[in-house]
Amino acid sequence: MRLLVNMIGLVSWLMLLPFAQAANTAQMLFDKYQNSVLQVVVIDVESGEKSSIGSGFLVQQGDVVVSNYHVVASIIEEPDRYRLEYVTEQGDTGQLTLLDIDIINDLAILQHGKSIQHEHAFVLAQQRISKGADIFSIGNPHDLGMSIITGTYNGQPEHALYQRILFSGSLNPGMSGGPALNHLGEVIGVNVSTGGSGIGFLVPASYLVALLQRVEQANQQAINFAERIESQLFKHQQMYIGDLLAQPWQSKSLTQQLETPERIAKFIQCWGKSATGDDEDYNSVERTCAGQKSIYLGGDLRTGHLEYHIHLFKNRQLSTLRFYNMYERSFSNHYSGFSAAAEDQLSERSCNSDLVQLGEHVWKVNFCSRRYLQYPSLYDVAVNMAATGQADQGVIANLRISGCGQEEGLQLAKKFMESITWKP
Amino acid sequence: MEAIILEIRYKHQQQAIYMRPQGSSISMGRGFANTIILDDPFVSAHHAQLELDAAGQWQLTDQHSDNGTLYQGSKIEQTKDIHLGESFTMGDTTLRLIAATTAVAATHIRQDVQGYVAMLSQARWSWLLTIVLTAAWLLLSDIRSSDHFDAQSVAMAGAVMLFTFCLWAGFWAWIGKTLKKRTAFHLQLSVMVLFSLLLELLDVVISYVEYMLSSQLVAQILSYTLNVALSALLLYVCLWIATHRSKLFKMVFSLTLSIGLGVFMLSAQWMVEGYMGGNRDVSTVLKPPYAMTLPAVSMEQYFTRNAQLLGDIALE
Repeated sequence: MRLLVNMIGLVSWLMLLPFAQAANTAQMLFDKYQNSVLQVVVIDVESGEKSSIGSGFLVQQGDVVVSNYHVVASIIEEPDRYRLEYVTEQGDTGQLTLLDIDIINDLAILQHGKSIQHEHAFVLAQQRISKGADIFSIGNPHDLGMSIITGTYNGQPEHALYQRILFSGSLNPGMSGGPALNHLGEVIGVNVSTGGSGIGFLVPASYLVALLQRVEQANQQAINFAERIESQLFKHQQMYIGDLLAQPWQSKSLTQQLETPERIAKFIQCWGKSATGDDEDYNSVERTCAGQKSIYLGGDLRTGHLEYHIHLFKNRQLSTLRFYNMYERSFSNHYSGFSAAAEDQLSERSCNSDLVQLGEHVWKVNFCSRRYLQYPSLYDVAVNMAATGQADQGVIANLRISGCGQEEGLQLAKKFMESITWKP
Repeated sequence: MEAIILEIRYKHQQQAIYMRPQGSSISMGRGFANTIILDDPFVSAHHAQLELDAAGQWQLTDQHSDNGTLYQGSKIEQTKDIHLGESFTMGDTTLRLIAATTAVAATHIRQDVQGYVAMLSQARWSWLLTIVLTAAWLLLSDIRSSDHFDAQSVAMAGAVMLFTFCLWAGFWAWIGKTLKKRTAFHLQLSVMVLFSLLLELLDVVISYVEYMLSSQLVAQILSYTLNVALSALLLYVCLWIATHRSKLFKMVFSLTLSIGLGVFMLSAQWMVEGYMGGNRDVSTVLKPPYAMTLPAVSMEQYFTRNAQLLGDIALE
């Protein structure tokens, strides 16, 4: 009996051992680095109070502070209204100025005016980490005080357009911009967002290496941030839309009659749905494909998103007139066009509405676009098209791209339209 | 001059005219030149006259009418004093002069309401016509709509028609004080219900125009213009059937009301679209192949236009 109790005790202890180890590491890392993690505070100049908070950490012998772009975005948008400050674990405060940003990967490099008391500045991890390894994220959630959170490294989705490390652990608002460390205390990523309960995302440290190099080379020259954002966005869309245009698209039939692009790129995910109408009057099959993430620009404005949607209708029992009434209404409903968020930062929408000969069929096509007021080389483009000419069948297809160049938007819209083959 | 009420009773019909005479006399007869026009074949063109003398007494004079004017059962030969509350008869019409006090006015409002109720209960074939035309209207919209022809939509359409019918009857009970013919009400009701059918048809035509022009804006403006023209015409016809009003009045009244209503409806629609996000700059009309085949542009042409469009987006 006693042996059994001992056995159970031993087994339990062995099972708890890894947790105890992780807890020890966390404690050790926190003790070592707590003075190198700062709270980054955006102060509303008028009221003198904080308007938003995030985290940041010291790198390069403590000379510069790393944080997220979205933490400091408001001082780029309205430099007269806001200023940046840091608060250390000891409660010391000081000014921060912005050195450079990476809008695509949501990173910002900041400079602090005076020397901050710290023992160990962070270094970036050189070697890869394997799935399942413990990682430790530090930050100040909800302004509750500097915290360390233990989680698990769960890899990096290989083909994502915006590379993020999947962190299985709980990140909370206020921790954005804080470091995520391996067990040696080296930075493997920067806390950036949460995907709901127990899922967090980190920006891989490799992007930070490139940005820090650029800051070093720039030698503290003043930067026009609007121009920098625009050029980063423009290059990014040139790169990924260029790839989309260069390679042939995999086609997949939605039903026997309709060939449509399936996943046109690996960062796109597709979902399907099929249904019959009320009283089984008609059948419908649809496929929706979209990129998984987008780029935060500031306020309610996001960009860098791509999605498309194909919807096939087949009449079963309705008269042609009624079928077309339903079809027309679906076309009009599908016509959501652009997101209504942050419309003040975009131009009015312009559209071309025409009947277009595409292959053997005539399609009703609405091509619409609007322009970013602050970044005039960038556009949102939407194509909404519906097939005509068949009494008891119809296809509706939509494409929406946000933040593309003029040429890229046009080419992609054209390629999308031509990639649909309908054989009713 | 003090206001009076002239109560006019013709067969089963009764109306009261509240008036504050501009001169000191009120002329009565079948002719259009009279102050009070009486729609009674037994009344002469210039039948009789009421005058207020310097002492404030109303005096009735027969204007050499064919059938004479009766006061207390006998034809009047010369001028007679008429006291407030007394009545006199011309042809089949009996008139009574009443002091326009509040209490009397209230009585007449009650009589107006009774008249309105009577109008609703007597308009039997108008009811029948409304029901038949509502059914036709429902059928017409059902052919176009893929929604189901269920009890709810029938009840809804019925309620809308009933409401319009009562509103319309109320309008004519009110305007009926200068009504030419009693049957005018039935006629106008038919015109109105036919008008809503016509609008339904017009809607179909407009959507074809939108399909051809590819612009909701043009279609909307066209639709409202046609609506305004049609409703002005309808109102003019109704006024022509029903009242003795002048041509100018009929024209101004029907045009002002229709244009006002049209502008109000269009701006309301645009306001809602502005709020909800409408698609005015695009067309989403799709029509069955047997209804329409139109020439299409090639992809090259379309994308030349699109490139132009992108180039022209201004940064205001």
